[in-house]
Amino acid sequence: MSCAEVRELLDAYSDGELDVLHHARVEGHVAGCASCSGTLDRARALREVVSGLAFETPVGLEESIRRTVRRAHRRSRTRVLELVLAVAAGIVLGVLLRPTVGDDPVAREAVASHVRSLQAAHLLDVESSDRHTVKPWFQGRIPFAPSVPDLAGAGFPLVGGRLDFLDGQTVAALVYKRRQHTINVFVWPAVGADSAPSGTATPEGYNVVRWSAGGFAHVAVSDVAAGDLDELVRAFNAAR
Amino acid sequence: MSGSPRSLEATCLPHLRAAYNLARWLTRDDHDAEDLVQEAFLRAVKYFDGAPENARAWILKIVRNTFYTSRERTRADDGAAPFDEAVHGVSMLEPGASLHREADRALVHEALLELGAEFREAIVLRELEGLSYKEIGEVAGVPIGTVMSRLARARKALAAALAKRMKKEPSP
Repeated sequence: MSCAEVRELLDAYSDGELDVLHHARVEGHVAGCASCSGTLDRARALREVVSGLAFETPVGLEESIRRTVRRAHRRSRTRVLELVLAVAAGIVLGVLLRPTVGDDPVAREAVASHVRSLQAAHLLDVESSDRHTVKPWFQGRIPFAPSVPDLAGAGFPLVGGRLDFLDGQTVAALVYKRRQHTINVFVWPAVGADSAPSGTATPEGYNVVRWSAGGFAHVAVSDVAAGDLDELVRAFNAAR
Repeated sequence: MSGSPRSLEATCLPHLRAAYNLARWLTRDDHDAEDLVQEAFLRAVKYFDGAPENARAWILKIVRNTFYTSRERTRADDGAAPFDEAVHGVSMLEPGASLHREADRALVHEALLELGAEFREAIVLRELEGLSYKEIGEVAGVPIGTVMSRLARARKALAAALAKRMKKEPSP
């Protein structure tokens, strides 16, 4: 081995990182070469000085780190607990504020019809913002005459109507808008006493309000906020 | 839980001395070193997923990475001139030069502080902490070949920085 080759390997040699074969070769060369062994000695002397340059760990750092670690553990556990509580509280509040559609089959059907009406490009059979066009359109198509209130003044312009199927019968669907949102109001004849509006919600975010008045059952469905939908129902009943 | 044999405290805290030493050499400041170690252990809590195979290399790697991230964040200047082999040359110590331990200790200390962070880190991990090339590669996230060449260049740079200082200092 030449001196140049050995110099390349001296670092790894003195670090004990050479394979057995190369280690033996370098060792053999250094034993018979004053220049290389001198280089090695100087490097080792410098390294010995360097190895004594470690900084002392400050007193109290270990205790402080231990506290940090334990606090961080506690915090991460607390965060999980907080999250669980928040979710639980959210569920409880949601249920208290607005019951889910749950077991009401008519409400579920109404939501399905609403969703279908938006997806299938079959929102409207008669497209008009004029109640005097929409109301007569239903005549002859269904065996009842739903009232079609004009709610533009309340911020719910009428866009039209169509026939739909709900609760085992053909019903009138009146379609209103609130900004970009569509609101379906399903109307069909009902027997029995009037019932006050009662709101429910689906997990997907649709709000549903059911009520009976003047011999008609109503279901309003939309993805507008519950408050907006309640407002429509109030306006609808006032104008009817 | 925090006392169990595989916990972070049980596996990594024994290497606090090494972690602090690396932090101190990287930051070159008492205060920053303590902050760095604190932040590194906080990160370690987050990443800890059962005892690492080599706890010392693992925690040193976090110290190192935390240092580089925070340095990027503050865009602080490392303050070290890049080592230029063409200028500093390969033969660094004059043949006659010998190191008088106590007298030169301070000079070596200063010379090491002067090196760039990558060189400082390689030398500290190897000479002060006695890590193998493989472990240094783990800490720095580079292959063994890179460790070998980086360490060789770091030692040359250190010897050159030291030679410069010894010339300035009048011989006793």
